[in-house]
Amino acid sequence: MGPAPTEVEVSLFGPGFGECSVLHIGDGRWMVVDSCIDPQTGEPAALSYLRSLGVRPECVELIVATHWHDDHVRGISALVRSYPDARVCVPGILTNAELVASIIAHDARPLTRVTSGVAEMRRLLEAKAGGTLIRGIADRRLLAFEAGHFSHGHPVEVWALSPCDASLQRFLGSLQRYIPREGMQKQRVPNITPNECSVVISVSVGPLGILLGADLEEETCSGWSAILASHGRPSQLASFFKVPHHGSKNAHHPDVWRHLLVPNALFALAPYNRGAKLPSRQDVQRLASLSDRGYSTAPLPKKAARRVGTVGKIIKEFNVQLAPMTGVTGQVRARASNFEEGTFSEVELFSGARPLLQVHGS
Amino acid sequence: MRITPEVSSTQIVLLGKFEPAQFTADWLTESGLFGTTEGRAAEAKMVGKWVADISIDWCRLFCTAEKFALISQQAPWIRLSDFCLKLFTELLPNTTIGYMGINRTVRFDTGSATAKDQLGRLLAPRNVWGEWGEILAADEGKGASGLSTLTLRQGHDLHDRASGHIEARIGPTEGTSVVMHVNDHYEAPGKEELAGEGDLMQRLSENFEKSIKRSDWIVSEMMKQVRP
Amino acid sequence: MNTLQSTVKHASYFELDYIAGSSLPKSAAAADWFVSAFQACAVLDTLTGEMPDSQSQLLGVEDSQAIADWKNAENVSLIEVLKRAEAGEPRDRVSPRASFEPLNEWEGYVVAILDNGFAAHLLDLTAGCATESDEATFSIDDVSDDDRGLVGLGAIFRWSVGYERQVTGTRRKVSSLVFRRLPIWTKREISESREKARSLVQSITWE
Repeated sequence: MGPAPTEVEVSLFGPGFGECSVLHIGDGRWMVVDSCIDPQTGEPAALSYLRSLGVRPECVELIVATHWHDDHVRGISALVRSYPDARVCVPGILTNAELVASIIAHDARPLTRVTSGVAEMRRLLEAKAGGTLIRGIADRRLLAFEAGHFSHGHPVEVWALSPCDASLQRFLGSLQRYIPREGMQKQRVPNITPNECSVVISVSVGPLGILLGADLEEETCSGWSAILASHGRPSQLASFFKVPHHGSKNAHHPDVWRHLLVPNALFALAPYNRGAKLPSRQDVQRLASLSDRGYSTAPLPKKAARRVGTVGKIIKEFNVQLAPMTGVTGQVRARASNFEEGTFSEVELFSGARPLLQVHGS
Repeated sequence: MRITPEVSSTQIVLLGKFEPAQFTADWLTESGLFGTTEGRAAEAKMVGKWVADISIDWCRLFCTAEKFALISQQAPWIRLSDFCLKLFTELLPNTTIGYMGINRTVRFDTGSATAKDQLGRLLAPRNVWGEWGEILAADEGKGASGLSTLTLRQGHDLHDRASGHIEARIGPTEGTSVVMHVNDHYEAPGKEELAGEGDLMQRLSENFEKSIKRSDWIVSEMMKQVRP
Repeated sequence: MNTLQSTVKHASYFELDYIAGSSLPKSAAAADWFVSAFQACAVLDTLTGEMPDSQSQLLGVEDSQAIADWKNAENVSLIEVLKRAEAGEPRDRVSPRASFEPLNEWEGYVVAILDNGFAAHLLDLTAGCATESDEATFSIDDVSDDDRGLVGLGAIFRWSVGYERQVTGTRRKVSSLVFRRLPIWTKREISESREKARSLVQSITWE
């Protein structure tokens, strides 16, 4: 069942690879941040969820692509097409024609079966050809509704808190070697790290604050430090925090917890199956020490999955370690109706979602 | 019991204007088409003005002045496509080509002479051949008469090419095994184009794996007809 | 055009391969047909004036003695003579090759370089998955010498497992990692992408 018109809801979806956030800001109006594919349906998880609630296309106000790492944008072009009236915010760096040219070149004649975030960004840009896009850059208000616009009576504001200009320039520099040039062999663009151009989103509905950390990592004088140092950002403290970069220590800044969040804030993360899985056990301990209200959208598998039959025997014989990347799409959903408390009192967990301390299966 | 292939081969064949003499192991290695070890171990049966025939462990390149063929019996088949795309879009983009075939040859064992004959009769019923058919029918099971080869063509409803067709041929046989060959044929608009900027290489990059999958499907549909 | 010459030019590759050395057994008659057709081409080119004065140049072989031997001998194929000239001894025909049809094939890309190998995300092609299904860790020992230089972040490969059928009919298990040698970006592709990008960025109203 969907949220009541006066309720605020924030959901984080994650199947073990990929994540997206879906927010209800009042009176059946929604916004979506990033996108992942639900392996069960093959559709964007946000699309499946909103359809299940009967949300009409015109009720989606805003879609944000925080950056183009594969695990954040799969299916986002389908979202943009499904919700044509929604305002769309993309990383500000995409006004750079050279960068867009490289995105187009990478996807021009796809020779490989694996898709990439780059291909999705291309499709998103093409979907908005002739239309309008909002540049996601630091201290930029993306959406605003005055008090009284919604039946809950509170003003609503959505802000981008990053990236700052310095981060953008540095990121462009690190991108240079992946920009296609004549004579360069075609390859798949890897996810470039550190991620300095990720768009962090702050949402406030009256006294309720939501901070969606995307994949922003911490670098000296940039990343989270730049956000903390900014005088142009909104001052609302967040009571829900989407932990950046799957809880990794690279994306951790202790002052975020001290100065941007309420004490013992509710937080959620989507884990990431990689060579080194995130969050690590140390990450879990660190986060658990900051708040006891932490959740994960999915578990991290302990053991490698076993293939059966002849294929399984051959894989075992050749000692290849194989693990499933995705499972069922889990959902952490928080709702708030009591704005006086300024917190999300109701937390529900669906499918594989679980308390953070159980992410490694304990 | 499901029949499965015994051996198979995938080929990319181009008709156009080629210079076989340039396909030396050294050139192919320097160009990045052969690895260094592959190039050293390459078996060049002939590399001359009219014919090039050079093999490495996973493929064979055969080229005359008018035909270029790359053949492999070792998956992954995508290597063939990558090789041709690299060769004709990067290294030799000014090569004139007019036709392309993405071909599969599969041999499968019917399991018995009876099953093989049954398949032959299914494909070529003797009764439609009139009195001659009766003579052939009388020779049933003796192995001297029967279906030799049969070819079917699909020439319409092919939206993945400017012009062309798909042909599937069954036969010949070797013992109880049957060979099937599927030729997925593409024609360049105007019957001639420069490889680097033309339609055929674009089709190759878009269609190669779909073509292989379709050909395998055609073969598997035939294999289902076998009653061992 | 002479019938034999046109036969060679229009012979299906299947026929040429069948004769010239696939894993399929071939008859002596078929092999002779191939050689005769090839010879016929060379002779007909002489008659039509397309062959240069020096036959050794035509055939790409420096050893004119081999050509003279062929002209003087009867019932000897040119190809056999050339092979003997090259190798100094008679050669066998092309031996049939092993065949590998995978039971399962994945496309993968490298996401991390590890101490002795790499981690990759895999798309199960056999299962028809639309998104990555598995993560795998491979040892660098699984990569051929020729492909090791291709292993890097973002590099794309195919992993196939199954049975290879040897010429003798025996089968052995195979796990094959092949890194893809993709073409380079051409000037035309770069130029086209820049033009499209310019047009696309300009068509969008940026707030």
